[in-house]
Amino acid sequence: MAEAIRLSGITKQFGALKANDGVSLTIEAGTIHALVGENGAGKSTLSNMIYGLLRPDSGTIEIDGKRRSFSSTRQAIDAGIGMVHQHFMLVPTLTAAENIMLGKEQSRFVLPGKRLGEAIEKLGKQHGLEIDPGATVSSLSVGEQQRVEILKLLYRQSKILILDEPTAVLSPSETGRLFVTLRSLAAEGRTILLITHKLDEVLAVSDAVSVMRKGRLVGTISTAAATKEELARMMVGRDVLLRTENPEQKTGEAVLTIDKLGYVSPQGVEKLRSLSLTVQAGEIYGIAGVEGNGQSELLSLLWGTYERDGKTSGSIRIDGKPALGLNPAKIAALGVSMIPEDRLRSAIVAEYGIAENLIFGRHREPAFHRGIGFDRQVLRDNAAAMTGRYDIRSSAPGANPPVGSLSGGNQQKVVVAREMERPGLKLLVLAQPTRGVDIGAIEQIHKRIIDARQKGLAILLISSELEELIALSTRIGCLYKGAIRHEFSESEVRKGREHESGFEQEIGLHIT
Amino acid sequence: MSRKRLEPFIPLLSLLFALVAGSLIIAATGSDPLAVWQKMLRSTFSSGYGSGQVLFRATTLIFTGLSVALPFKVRLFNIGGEGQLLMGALAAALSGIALPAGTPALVAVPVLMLAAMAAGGGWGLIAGWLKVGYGVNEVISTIMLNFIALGLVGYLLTNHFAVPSTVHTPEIIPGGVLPGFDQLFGLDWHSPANLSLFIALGVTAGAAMLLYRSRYGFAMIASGLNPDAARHAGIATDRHILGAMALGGALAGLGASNLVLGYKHWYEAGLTSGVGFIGIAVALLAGANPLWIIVSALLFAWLDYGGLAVNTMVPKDIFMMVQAIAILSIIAFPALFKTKLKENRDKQETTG
Repeated sequence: MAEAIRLSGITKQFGALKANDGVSLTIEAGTIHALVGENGAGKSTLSNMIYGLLRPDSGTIEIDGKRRSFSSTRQAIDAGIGMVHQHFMLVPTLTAAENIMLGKEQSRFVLPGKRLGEAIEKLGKQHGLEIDPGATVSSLSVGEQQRVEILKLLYRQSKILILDEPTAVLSPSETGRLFVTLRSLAAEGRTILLITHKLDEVLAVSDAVSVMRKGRLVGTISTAAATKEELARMMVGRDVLLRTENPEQKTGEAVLTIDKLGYVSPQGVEKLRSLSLTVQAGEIYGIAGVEGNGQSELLSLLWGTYERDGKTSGSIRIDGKPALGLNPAKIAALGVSMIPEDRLRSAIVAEYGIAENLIFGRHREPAFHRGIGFDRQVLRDNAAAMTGRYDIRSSAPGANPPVGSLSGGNQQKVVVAREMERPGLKLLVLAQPTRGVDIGAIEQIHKRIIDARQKGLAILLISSELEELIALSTRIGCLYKGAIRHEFSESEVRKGREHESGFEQEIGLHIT
Repeated sequence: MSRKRLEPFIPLLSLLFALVAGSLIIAATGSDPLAVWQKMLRSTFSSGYGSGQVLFRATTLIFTGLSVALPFKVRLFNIGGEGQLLMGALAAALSGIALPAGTPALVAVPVLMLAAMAAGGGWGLIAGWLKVGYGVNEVISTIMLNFIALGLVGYLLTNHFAVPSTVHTPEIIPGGVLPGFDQLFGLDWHSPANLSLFIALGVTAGAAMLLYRSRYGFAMIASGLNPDAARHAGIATDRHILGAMALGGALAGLGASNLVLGYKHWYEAGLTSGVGFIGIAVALLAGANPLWIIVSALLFAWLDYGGLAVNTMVPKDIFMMVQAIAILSIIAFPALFKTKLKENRDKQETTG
C-alpha cells in the first residue's frame, strides 16, 4: 500500500517544553489511523504541523511521497489535507452550502445557486452525510454541523482527513453513524487520521493506532492486535485500573427528592416534563442521556441558576426542605455541593489565587472571616491543607499563583477539594466529572466518588459516558426529552455490570 | 520578557512616549520644548499658588477617577461622571442654602456631602437599573444621562435658584464651608486647594480597602472577572452592578465637596467644566487601581494647570493632546505586547 503521510524525526519545542520529540510515523493511504494519548501528549501539535498551522523545528513531513514544508494551512489544503477541529470552524449565520463553499468559491460575485446545493446533497448521500444545504448552520444540531465540516473537506477534494476528537460531542448513535461514514471514505482510498482519547472507539473503527506520551511516540500497532489494557498502559506508562472497585453498600434515607419537576424556558420550550427521582444517602444515582435532553436545565434548577423568566412546576426537596426557587447560596447552605460541567467557566475565577478559589462560593462561612475581610492566615492554612490532601500541583508550590496558571486537571482538583470539604455536606451533584480528564486521573476521581458515597453522601451523577455510569452508579435513570424514561434498579445495574456492552446497548435504547 | 515583568512599566512607558510626542508637537509650533516644560514646572511647583492649583484640580480628578475605577471592576464603563458630579454639586449647593444659617460645621458638612453623594449615586443608579432591568448598555445610558443632568441642572439654576442677574446660586451657610489650605496650615498661597484633598485621600484608601480587603470587594471583583462563576457561587451579580454604579456615582458626586464646599461655596454654570470626562482618562492611566489614581490625577492636574500657565508660549490645547496620547498609548502598548505574547501562548495551547 502507498504511504499517505511519512513523518521523520519531527521535533517541536515551545519554550522549555518539548511538545514533540523526534516523532517518526508512517500512515498508509486508505486507512483509518488513530492517534491516542493523554492531554498534553503532543497529538494536537503533531496534527497541527501536518495541517500547516505550525512548523516543525526539525524533521521532515512527506505527503504522498513528496517532501513538504507548509508555511500556511492554505498550502496544506491545496496538497489535499483537511482538518475537522474539535471546535467547529463554521459561520453560524451562513447556510450549510455557503459554509461548504467558503474559501473555495467558484466565482467572486455570484452566490451559490441551486446547482451547488444539489451537488452537495448528492455528495452527502454518497457518504451518509445527509444535510439540508439551505439550512442556516446555527439551526443545525452538533452532529449535523460536523457533517457540514466533513462535507467541506470532501468538496475541497481532500485526500487526507484529520479529525480532532470528533465524537466528543456526539450521541452513541451519531458516533456509530460517523464511523460508517469514515469507513466508506477509507474504502474510497482516503486516509483518515483520528485523534482521540476514547480507547473503545479506537478499537472499533481504526486500522492502526499510534500512542503518544509526553511528546514522544510510544509505538504504532495494528488495531487487530491491540487490547484496551495495553493501549492504556502505553498511554499512561503504567498499569491502569480501568474499572474502579465498587463494593455494595446499604443506602439510607432519601436526601434529594424531585417530584414531577417541569420547566418551560423563557422561549416557551418545554425542557423538563414531570421528572421524578430520589437519591438516597449512600447511593450514586446516575443519569444517562444524550446531551440536550434536559441535563443542563435539571442542573440549573437544582442549583438555582435557571432563568427565572421560565416557568417551573413540581418540587425539589433536599433533606425534606423545599429547594426549588432558592438561590445558590441558600441551596448550598442546605448541605449541597455542585461540581458543574464547565469548571473553568462556572466554578473558578482564573485570576484569583488557589487560596481564594478554595473558598469561592464558600466565602460566607464565618470560619474564614475576620473583620470586614478574610482571615488571611486561615486562608493560607486551608490552602496548604487542601493542596496536600488533594494533591493540587502548581508551578509555585507554597505560593498562591492564579488558578488560571494551573493545568486543567489541577484546576479540577481545586474545585473538587472545595466542594467535597463543604461543612455539613449531604448531597453532591456531579456533571461530567471526568470530561477532558486523562485516563490516569479518571481512576483517582472515580475512587474519590466511591469514597464519598461510602461516607454516606447522596450523589447525583450526570454523565454522557455510559461506561462511567455503569461503573459507578447504584441506580441509573435514563433521561429522554426532559423526563426519566426508564430507571434501572440496584440489582439490574449490578447485573448489567457483568455484561457491560450488552447493558450499554440496553441503556442506549432508553435514551434515544 | 514576560508580560508580568513588563506590566508595571507600561504606564511609565506610555507617559514617556506622550511627553516625547508632546515635545515634537511643541517643536512643530515653533517653540522650544525644553523651555516650555521648564516654564511649566516653574509656574506650578515653585509657587505656592501654582502648587495649590495643581492640588485643587487633582482633588476633583481623584473623585471622578474613582467614579470610573470602581464600576470598572465589575466590567462597567461609567462615562457618566460628569453628570453625576453636576447632580452632586447642585445638591450640595442647594442643601447648603436650605440648612438653617447657624448649623454647626460638624452637622452641615456631612449633610452637604451626603446630599452630593445621594444625588450623584442616584444618577449612577439609574444607569445600573437600566442595565440590570432592561439590558441597556451603561456606556450609552451614562452618556445620555450626562446630557439630561446638564439640561436639568441648567434649567433649575436659571429658572429657580440663581441669584438674579448672575449664573450662580446663593452662597451656602458658613457651617458648610471646608477650610482652604491657607487657613488650615497658615499659608499664604491664595489657592483654591482645601481640606477636600484629605477627604479624597481618605476615600481612596477606603475604596482600596473595599476592593482588595473586604468580602464585598471579593464578591464584586469576582462578578466582574467571571460573572458565570460568581452566579454559581451564589453571588448576586445584578446587585453588584447596581452597587458599583451607585458607588461610582456617589464618588463623582462627592467631587462637589472640593468644588462647592471647598472652593466656590455655591453652584455656578460651568463649574465642573469636563472634569468628569477627564476622570475617565485618570482611571485608565491608573489601570483602575485606586492608589495609582492619586498619581494619575496629580499628573493630569499638572498638565491641565501647567498648560494654562504657558498659554502665552504655546496653545493649551497641546497639553490636551499630550493627555490623549498618554491614554492612547497606555491602551495600545499592553495590547501590542500581548499580541506578541499571545501568539506564543496560542502555540503552546495547541499542544494537546
